[in-house]
Amino acid sequence: MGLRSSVPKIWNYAAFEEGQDLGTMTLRIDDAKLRLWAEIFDRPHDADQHQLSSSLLISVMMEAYLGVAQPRPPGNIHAGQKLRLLGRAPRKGEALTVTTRVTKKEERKGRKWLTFESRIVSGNDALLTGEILTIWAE
Amino acid sequence: MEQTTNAAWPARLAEARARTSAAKTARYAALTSDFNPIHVDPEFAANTVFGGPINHGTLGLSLLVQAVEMTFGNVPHELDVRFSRPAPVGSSLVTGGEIDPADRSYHVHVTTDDGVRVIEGTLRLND
Repeated sequence: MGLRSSVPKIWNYAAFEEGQDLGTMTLRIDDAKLRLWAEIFDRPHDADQHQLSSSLLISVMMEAYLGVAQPRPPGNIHAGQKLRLLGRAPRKGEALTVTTRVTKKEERKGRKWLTFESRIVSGNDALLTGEILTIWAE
Repeated sequence: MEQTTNAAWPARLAEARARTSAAKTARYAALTSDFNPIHVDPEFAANTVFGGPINHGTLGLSLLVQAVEMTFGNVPHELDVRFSRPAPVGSSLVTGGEIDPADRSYHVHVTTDDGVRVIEGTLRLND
């Protein structure tokens, strides 16, 4: 089956529209992720760890954001970030559903700005809402 | 001893520290599936305006969220930050933050060991 005509070959600035739903991914907080996180931040890795850091949600948000709208032009800049954390840390083994969409598209001072919204939920629990502010390369 | 305005509203955010390295950057790339060569390819990064590999901005942001947890526990909060400067791979990162008594928000930041603020913004705690 061929690609749908609505899927661009490369996700340049023109391919995005405000309100566009870029996709939903389900990512699991597995032991491999916890081990990487512990090694990055010099924290002990406990295979039975139940108290996790909400900062893991940021890497989940980024993994999902980078998993949609690919391929992209090189040179995009992650300029800013808004986060709303709901006070509920992820749990080991938990499957998190991440939805990414375009909320703002604006050219300012010759720069192409795109804002992406990321929402992370687990079942009926909302864990994070984020806004990824980027300057798109082309 | 940490100065506080009261028990619930400390004057300063806790300091969380992270020493970055090429190995840790590679792990963060694996954690986020972000293998942008500006982070993980020294040869590529040497020929960019940065002159060498830089850390993922959200690595520092993750450290900032850990500092919020160290200070307040796992509480609902909002962060609004900009990635103001790149942090070279190999630099140390430290978080900081000072309360604005007017509205109980915090001016928060992540700084490299040579004093460059790489992330700056505002923290607000929610009910």
